[in-house]
Parts: sequence; structure tokens; C-alpha cells
Amino acid sequence: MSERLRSPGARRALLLVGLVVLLIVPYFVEAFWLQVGLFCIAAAIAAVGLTLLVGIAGQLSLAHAFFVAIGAYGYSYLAADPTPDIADAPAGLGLPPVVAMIGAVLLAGVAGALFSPIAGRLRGIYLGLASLGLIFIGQHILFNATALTGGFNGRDAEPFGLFGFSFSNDNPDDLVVLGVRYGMLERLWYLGLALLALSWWYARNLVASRPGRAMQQVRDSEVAASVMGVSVPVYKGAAFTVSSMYAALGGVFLALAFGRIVPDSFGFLVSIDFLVMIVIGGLGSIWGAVAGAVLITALPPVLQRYADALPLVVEAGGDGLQASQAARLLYGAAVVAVLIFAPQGLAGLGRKLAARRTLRPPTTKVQPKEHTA
Amino acid sequence: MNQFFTALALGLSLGTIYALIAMGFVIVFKATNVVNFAHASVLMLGAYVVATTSDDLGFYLAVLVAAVVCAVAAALIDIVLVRPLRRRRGGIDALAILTIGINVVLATELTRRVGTDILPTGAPWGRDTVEFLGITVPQTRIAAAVAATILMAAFAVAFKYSDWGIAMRSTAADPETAALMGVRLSRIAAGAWAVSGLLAAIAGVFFTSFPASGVTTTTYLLALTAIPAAVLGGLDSVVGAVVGGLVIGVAVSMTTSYQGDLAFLGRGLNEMVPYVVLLLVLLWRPSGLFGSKEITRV
Amino acid sequence: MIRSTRVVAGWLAAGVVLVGAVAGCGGKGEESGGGGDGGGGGDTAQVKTGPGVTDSQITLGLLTDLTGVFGALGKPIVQGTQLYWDQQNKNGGVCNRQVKLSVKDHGYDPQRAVVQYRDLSQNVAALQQLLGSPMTAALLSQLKTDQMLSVLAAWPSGLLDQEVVGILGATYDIEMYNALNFLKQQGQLKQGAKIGHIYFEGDYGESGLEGSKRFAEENGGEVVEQKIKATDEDMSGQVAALKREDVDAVALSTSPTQTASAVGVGAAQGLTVPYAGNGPTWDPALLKSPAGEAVKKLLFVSGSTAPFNKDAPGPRRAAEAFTSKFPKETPKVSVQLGWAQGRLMSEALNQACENGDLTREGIVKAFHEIQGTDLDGLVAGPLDYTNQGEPASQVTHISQPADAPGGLKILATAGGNESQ
Repeated sequence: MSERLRSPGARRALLLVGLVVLLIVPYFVEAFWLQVGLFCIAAAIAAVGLTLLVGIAGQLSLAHAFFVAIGAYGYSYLAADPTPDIADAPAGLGLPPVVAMIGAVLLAGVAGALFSPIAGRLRGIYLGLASLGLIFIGQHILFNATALTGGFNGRDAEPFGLFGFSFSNDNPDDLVVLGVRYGMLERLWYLGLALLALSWWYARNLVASRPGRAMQQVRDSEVAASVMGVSVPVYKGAAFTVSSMYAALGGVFLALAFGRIVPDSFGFLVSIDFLVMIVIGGLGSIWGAVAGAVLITALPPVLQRYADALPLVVEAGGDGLQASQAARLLYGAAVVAVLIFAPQGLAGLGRKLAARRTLRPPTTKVQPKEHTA
Repeated sequence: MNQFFTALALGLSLGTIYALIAMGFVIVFKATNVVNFAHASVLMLGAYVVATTSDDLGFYLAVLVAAVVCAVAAALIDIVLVRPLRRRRGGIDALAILTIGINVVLATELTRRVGTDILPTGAPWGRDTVEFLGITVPQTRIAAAVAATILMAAFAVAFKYSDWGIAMRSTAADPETAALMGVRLSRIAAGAWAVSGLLAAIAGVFFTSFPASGVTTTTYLLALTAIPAAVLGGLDSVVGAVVGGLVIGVAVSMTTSYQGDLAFLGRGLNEMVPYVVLLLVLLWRPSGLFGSKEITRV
Repeated sequence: MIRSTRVVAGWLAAGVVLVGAVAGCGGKGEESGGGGDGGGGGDTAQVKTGPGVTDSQITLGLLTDLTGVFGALGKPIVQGTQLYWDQQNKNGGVCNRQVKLSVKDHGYDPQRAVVQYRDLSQNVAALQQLLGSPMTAALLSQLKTDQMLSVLAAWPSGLLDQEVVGILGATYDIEMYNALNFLKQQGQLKQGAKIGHIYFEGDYGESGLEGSKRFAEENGGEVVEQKIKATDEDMSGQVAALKREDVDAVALSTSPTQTASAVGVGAAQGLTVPYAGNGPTWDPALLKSPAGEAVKKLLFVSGSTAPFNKDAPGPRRAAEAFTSKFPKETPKVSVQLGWAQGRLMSEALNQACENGDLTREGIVKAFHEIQGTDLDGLVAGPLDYTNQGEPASQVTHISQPADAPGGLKILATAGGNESQ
């Protein structure tokens, strides 16, 4: 497994500092950054699920956006008012938001379990490409089942609430903390952090647990796994189910961060994005998936925001390289560079960096010769 | 009945273009184990080169130039970017994702160049059609079918009898033995990529000529519709690519033609249908119609 | 190992830049007091101001697509708007203030649009352009909360009852109805005509479909539907299906490439009936396509915005500005649209200035006082925004493709009094 920093104390202190920084963020940053942050969190939760599936269990899936959609639409449907006040708005079941969130996650779990016989029958790249089918079927349903999904224009997501506290701009209406108004974005930030922490914790435990090790065995060799008494179809199915539930939780939070969801947010390219996130992060690494998700989600809007300060990039509307094109180019180049130069992704780089620090000799001139392990 | 045969003719002619693209996927996969998503933007590159040079060079010369440009581009992609990863025994997933990255870069640059324009390819067929027994088919599609058939036949012959073909088949069967027998693996690989680039260029030209209106910023999405064709035939079967292409072509054409009768399934089915067909076929035969089973052992 | 060191350094540098950027924003406590209805203490005028408005400057946002699937539409609109405000600023701006445009390119990605809106929402007085119906849908409730007047680059009838949404002229349903009605008056369509309608999924197509259905209903005819997606390029199947139904006319609510395909295939397959298109079906590049000749004979385009070469003071000014700034680019109707949107916004700002209220609420209110102007001929008929829920105009230009700058010649203005 990964190397540890030398002293657990230093590690803990670092973690604590990081946590404190994350907790006070909403006090300082503007709406733009919070919104970017919320989307990053949503992507990160879903990406952790995908890295469990692809990196740990070795099942390539291009259908992740489909399960994210189930979470987002499932939540929106379960939580929405049965008799909406706006005419032609799609109705729902009117469940409390917490129940709706859990319901949406379970729903996606069921969908993942239903897909697992297919997943059990197919292998490798065939599984990945076949799972693309789910995306296109999903898109078709999202566009056409208007009564459920609102069709092309999507449907509103009910704000989340817990014990009477609403994660929206009202109820309590004016929540001011030390002179800063805590509206929807600020409140959702904390909810997101909590959900992300939960996802992280569960994923770490899963990987270290017996079922987690069994999944890795299935990845490494199905034959060897079944010889060792691991039921391959069961663990493949379980991996799909768990990963779908992660996707759905990410989807629920995505719906909350959006406030309104439309089918375009769950298409083919989004699935590709998820795959790229976990590859850039380093397959199978949980913090790598989170880092990859943050990078891929934040890069385009951040680049655009500082487009005028960047060389080679022109102002929006001008002739030449647009910021969003620059972001696409960087995205593509990053994928290529990571795969060729750092196949372990960000996680691998982090590990190397940590290792280098311990190995650094007194004079910087002489670099130790490393052997690739 | 006329409706059925019209849709069938349109579907088969569309299917030959899918088949060309799918063959490109398959040849690369067979030779190098790469599911090449960059195929999409190489196809756009071909169409773009034809559209921008056909005014000066004439259509046929422009197609030739495009074929060469795409062959070189695809071979370069292999040599410069894919080979290093292949050398390090990058897994099949990693290789596929690498080509996604390459595709993004290439497609972004191409769409930037196309900008706000619609670039017609200047194909000499214009919007002429051929009528036969009450079925009307655009001449472009006849040309596509003829060109595709010739290319497929030529490729089949080359594959069977030429040194390159034999070397490639033996490489696909057993790379280590082939290498021991003196087959230059890297050259075989680059050659396969070049052939797929050439096929992509031709397919790109036909895809953007009438009845489509020209090269636009979304042209690179066209090749993605051929992915199901390549997969359902079996990723390592050239015959499978052709059959897959035709099946998908007919399926798309039929759903469009009978859209009115299928309205209860929702409208706009044609985008989903290739993938539904793919899922069903894979459930029946997990390695595609003609794919070899071993190929999934990674 | 040198290689990976460099990579590490690269990532680190990127990280430092990011952190620096975050830190640069500073605390936000002070900032939230910046907007509001503080009332301009300056000596320029007794005008109440809100976010995006200072004593010398008004900032307007454009949330558009420059690089995504609708980039070909968005870019010329942005150019048109920029040209308009360049000229206007030279003439002293509006309300003694210069107008600054903040352009954001969402690339047709709803998520990016939402993020960018967060940025814009704190710094602009109104949205001069909002392109893309998924983005509009995703942002609508936020727009309402912020009282952000948003001029759409679209004409969906479904959004007419939204107070904050500004639609320039007649909606898609009216465009289509007018086109078909024009064909009827010309004797090309008879009572009981059967109309085949190829339309986009979403707002655009569905709104257009309302128009053809209304026409069919009034004339005892029927509509045969063919729904397509933005990515479909080959209309052979759709046209074959319509030909089988033996339709008397084809209605198109599609993109330009699909228009070319539909008309070209139709002409080739012998479906030589009139083709009635919504405004966005047209792009001058179609004249160069294989369908060029067929399009000239068969297509009729109906839209509110003036074609590029319309002979009226407004369009002429826009055309001159465009050809002198971008002599090499193809002139498009979207340039006029962008210019007209700028013009419409300046009407609203002027009205708000007169009312002494340049807050967002004030601008929305002023917008709904606009009445009786056709923006010097930039749109087909006088606009009236006082009846919320009603389209601002019933009149559209009916044009046909021709070899002219912008590729269209006007045949008539249709709709309005005679149709009611």
C-alpha cells in the first residue's frame, strides 16, 4: 500500500489544518468559487465510486453518468411536491429530502444490481463499450418520459432539509454568521463536505475489508479468484451496485448544487469525464479520484475566469484561442501526459513526492538513482 | 413495401460508411490492442482537408491528399504517443483512455479551425440521385458503397496475401512468436494505424457530403455512431466490422423511416437504437458476432 | 527521473497559481454590501443603482456558446452586440455611462453556465445575451430571484410569462404560422393541406410545432411529425417518410445543416414542395452547399430579425459596422440579431434611466414599458413588451435565399393585423 509520512502526528496535524481550511472557506470566497466547489464535491463523490469499480474491481464502465442521472432525477422525483404549484411541472412523491436522498441512492443500487448480470457476462473493453448503451438509453428516457423527467427542460430539485433546517436561501431566512450571509451555496458546502467525508471513509474501509480484497482479486485474475473461493459474479455485481450508489449520491448532490437538472448534464461526454478523472487521479486511489474530479471540474471555469491574464488565450468572442478551447486542450494534453509519463496518476506522483522527501540527501546536487518498483 | 425497401437501401448504403469506420477501429485493435477513440477526429481531419483543398485541387486529388494526411497523422499518433505506453505494457483500458485524450486535443483544434462555417466537401455528385425500382438513393451513397466495397476487397486481398497482411495476422495471433520470426512489430503497428487513417478519411468525406451539408464543428461526433458497429461485429474481426456496419446502418434507417409507427417509444429513437442492438448482441455473444473469445483475456 | 520531476514541478506550479487565485479574492464580507439600493451618491444623476452599475459604467453579461455545438450561432451574435455597444459608447453610452460587456462562453454545458452565472450575477446589471435552452432552464429560478433581465438568443413561446426574460420579437410558433400563412396567401398551400414538420427536440422545435399545428387546425389540415436531434445530419430518412405521407409543405425547425440536408434530399427525391423554416434554420453558408440551388427555389425563412441587407436605417448601420470591422467574414443574420439585442437593451436602460432607477428591478420594470418601436427596422414590426405573457410582436420577415450579403432577400412582412 501507499507509503506513510514518517510521523503519524505530522500527518494528523496536516489533516487537521486542511479540515479547518475547508470549514472556513465559505466565509471568505465568492459565490463563483463556492459553486465550483459544490460541483467539484458532486463529481468527487461519484468519481470515488467509479474508481472502486474500475480501479479496485477492474470493471470498465462508461455508464457512470447514467447512474448519476438516476440519483439526480430519483431525488428530484421522490422529494418533489405531488401537486406542484407551477402548471406542467413534473410531479413527485413529496417525501422528506433525507428519505428521498436515501431512496435515490437505493434506486441506483437496484439499477446497478440489475445491470450486473450483463456485467457478469461481459469482460474488459466489451463491458465498457456495452455500458455506453446505458447512457444512450438513459438519455432517451430523460428526453421522452416527460411526466417523470420534465423532458428537454428538466425538472427542479427540491432543496435539501434536515430537522427543519433548509439548505437553501430561506428557512432560516437570514442566517448571518460574523457578517457573512449564509445562503444556499454556503450551507450546501457543509452538506457536501459531510457527504464527501462519508463517501471517503466508507470507500477506504471497503478497500481494506475482506470483500474489497476479494474484488481486487477478481480484477487481477478471475480464474485465480474463483480458485480461491471468491464468487466472481457476486463480487462483480456487488462492485457495480456499490459504485452505482456512489454515483447516485454524487447525482443527488449535483441536483442540489444545480437547483434544476437537465438531461444534457448526464450525457456521453460526462461519462468520459468521470473516467478521465479517475485516470488522472490514479486508478484505484480514493484521494486520487477526488483530486482528479476537482481538477477536471474546476479547470474550465477557472481558466475562463482568468482568461485575460493567460498568454495565448483571447478574450471571449475574439479571434484566436478561446479559454474554453484552451481548457479542452489542457484536458486532453493532461490525459495524454499522465498516461505516458505518470501512469499512476496524481496519486502516484504524490507517493513519489513523499518518498523523495524522505530520500533527499543533504546536498541537492546528487539525486539518488531510483529504481521503479 | 416500398417504404421497407427504400429504408433498406438507404440503410445499407449508410451502413457501408459505418463499415469503413468500423474497419478502421478493428484493424487498429487487431494490430495494437487499442480501442482508438481518436479515430473520430482523424475522420474529421480527413473531411476538413478535403473541404479546404477541393476548390484548388479538384475533388479527387483532394481526397487523395486527405487520405495521405490522415494515414500519416494516424501513424504519427501511434508512433509518438501510443507506442510509448504500449511498450510499457499499458492495459487495454489505459490505451483506450489515452486515445480519448488525443481525440480531445485534435477535435478541439479542428473545431476551432472550422469555426462558424459549414464547409462543403465539393463532391462532384452534388445532390443527384439514382432511381431504381421506385427506390431513390443519393449518388453519394452509391459512390460510398462502391468505394467501400473496393476498399474492403482490396484490404481483404492485402490481408490474405501481402507480406504486410501475413505479418499482421501473425502478430495478432501471437506477437512474441511473430517478433522472433523477424516481424517488425512497430512497423506493423504503424502500418495498421495508417490504414485506419486512410479509411477514416474516405469515410469522413462520404459522411459530410450530400445528404449532409458539409464539415461543421460537430463532425467529429459522427465516428462515435460507428462504435457500436465495430463492437457488435467483434472488435478483432474485419468481417464483423462490415456486418456490424450494415446491421447498424439498416437499424438506424428503419427506425427513422418507421418513426411515426414507433412514436409510443418516444421520438428520436435513431440515436439510441445502435446501442440497444449492441447490448442485445453482446448479451447473446459476449465477444461480438465474429470476435474471438480470447481477446477478452487481458 | 528528470521527466517526472518536471511533471511534478508543473503540477505544483499549477497548484500554486490556483491557491494564489483563491487567496487573491479576499474576504467577501465587505463585498456583499457593494450592491443593493444604496443610491448613487455621485453627482452624475439622481439615479438609483444596483449591481453592475457605477457612476460611469454599466456592465452587461453575455452567457453564450462560442465553442460548443451552437458556437456558429453565438459568435456572430456576440460580434453584433459588441459592434453596437462600441458605436454607442463612442456616442456617449447610455445614461451618461459607458457600457462594458462581460462575455462568458459556456460551450453548451449547463454546469459551466451555472458557475459562470454565479460570477456574472454579482457584477452585471442584466444579461445582454443568454443562449441555450438547457442553460436557460437551469438558470431560470436564479434569474427570477436576482431580478436579472435576460435577453434570450432564442424565441421560445414557453418562456413568455417569465417577467425577467426578454424575447426579441415574435416567437417560433408565430414565425412558423406566418410562414405557412404566407404560402397560403401565395396560393402555394390550399385548405386542408398536409404539413410535414421536421423539428428539434426541446423548446425550439416544440414551440415551432405549435405554430404549424395552429395553422393546420385553422385550415382543416394535419401535421406529420418527425422529431430529430441536434446531432442528426442526414435527413434522407425523414424526407422519405414525409414523401410517403405525400405532404403539401415541409416545416423546418432545425439547424442550418439539417435545413440544407432536408431541402437538398427533398428536391432530389422529388418532394418539391415549399419548405417553411424558422429563423434559426438559415445560414448563408447553405448557398455554397450542394443544396444551394434547391434552397433558393424551395425555402422560405420566417424570422423577426432583419436579414443582413434589409434596407432600413438600423440594419444598414449594423451592416456597415460589420463589414468595416470584419471585411473577410461572411455576414449573417445573427449579426443583425446581436446588434438588435444591444439596441433593445439600450432602450430598456434608457427607460430605466429616465425612471431614475438603474437597479435590476428597475431595469426589468423599464423593459416592460418598451412599446411601439421597431428599432429602426431591426425587427419586422413594432415591439410591445407591456403585455407580459404575450409575444412582443406578431410580425415576421418572410425571406428567400438569394445571392446577396447575408444570403436572404425579403419577400414580405407577414403577420400582425391581417392574421387576427
